[in-house]
Amino acid sequence: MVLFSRHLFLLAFMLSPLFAVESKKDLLDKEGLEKKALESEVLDFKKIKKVLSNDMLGENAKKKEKVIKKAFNKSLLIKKDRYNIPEGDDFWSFVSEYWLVKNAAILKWDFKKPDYGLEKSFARFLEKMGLYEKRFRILVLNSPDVSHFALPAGKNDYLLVISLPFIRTLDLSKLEISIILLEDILRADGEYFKQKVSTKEVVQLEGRNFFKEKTFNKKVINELLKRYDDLIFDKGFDFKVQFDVTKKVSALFRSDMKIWNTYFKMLNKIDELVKNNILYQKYLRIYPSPELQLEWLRPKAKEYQRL
Amino acid sequence: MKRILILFLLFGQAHLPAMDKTRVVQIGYFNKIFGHIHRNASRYSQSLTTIACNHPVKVLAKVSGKKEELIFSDKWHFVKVGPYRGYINKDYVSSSKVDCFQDRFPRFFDQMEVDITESYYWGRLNDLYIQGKSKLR
Repeated sequence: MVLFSRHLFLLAFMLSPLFAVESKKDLLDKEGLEKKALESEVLDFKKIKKVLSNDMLGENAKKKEKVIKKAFNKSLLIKKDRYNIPEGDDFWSFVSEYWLVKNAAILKWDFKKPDYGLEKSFARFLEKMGLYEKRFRILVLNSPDVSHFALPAGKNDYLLVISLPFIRTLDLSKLEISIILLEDILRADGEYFKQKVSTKEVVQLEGRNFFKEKTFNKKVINELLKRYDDLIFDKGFDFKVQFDVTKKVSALFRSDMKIWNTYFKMLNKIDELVKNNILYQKYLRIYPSPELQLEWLRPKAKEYQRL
Repeated sequence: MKRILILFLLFGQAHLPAMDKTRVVQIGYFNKIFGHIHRNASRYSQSLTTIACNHPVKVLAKVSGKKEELIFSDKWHFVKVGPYRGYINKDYVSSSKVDCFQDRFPRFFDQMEVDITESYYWGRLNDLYIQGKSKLR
């Protein structure tokens, strides 16, 4: 048995180089095959460029690129739009309401007030005057500091404030309140308020986009609010504005003498009030002056002669 | 212990608010910059919460048997906003989302830094305005 195993071992030893030569050949064959397979897998684009162009793949890629670029530009535009500053009606309406909010404590408008039914009576009055499609918001104040004003809002959209102490002191009727508010509407239409408070910086700020800067100069808004304060509490309008407005109101009321007379009498009441009541002496600075307004309204001697 | 439990159940049922028998009839969106949900149907009523533009509000209707009835439907909606149930001016609720100022100019609005007090007063402004429009005859 031992002898047999020795013979087998010797035979295996002698034949082993033959097997080894064969396996090396196999390896070489395999490598060659793999190389060929790899060569067939890797594409030479220069060779198939024409095929590709005929397959429209290049154009498709360009189209896809365009779509991606378009989507990117669109998203960038949306992102940019988020940095827009309002302009025109949006801007002025916002600033006016912001001013009212900031001055809530001074103006004292957050209080329970009597219902004068102004929403209907004032709308009817405007219709009677031929002023249609006018939207109005009236805020009643519980302070004598501001008697009445029209704050800048939008076209055919009016933001009006009127003082309840002023109404009560003068014992104003619904018609008289409507006349005062209409006077304010004409001032708003003339954009006298905007002209007085607006600055070069405000004009530059309106409608601007601050995407690049990421912040805008808030000082401009604060300065604008200050100018609101100055105009409403202190400076008011000049004689020229008052003259223009008085003439406009008079022309509007001339067709209805009852209303015209009410306007005239009301100005008389205001004139007396500002001359006798210390609380309302500031009124003369804001709306100069009821006495002059009466003078402008009085028919001249020549007109009498004509009549 | 049983007595306490029975008492608690009885007490609880007896004091269930009448408003609990309600159903959501519409989802609306608040359409002003800021506004309030009021405890009662009055502009002077206490504010339960302040909401901003496009805030969804669930308009509720009272259900009694098979009937559904809107509560104070002439000028006010009875609504549910978050955990609050209260009243809101009907004109300030739109049936679909609106083009809010805050959404059109978000960065500008952010930079104005309207604080809680100011947003409260802004809501009060919308409560207290006397609003109207002259029509074309």
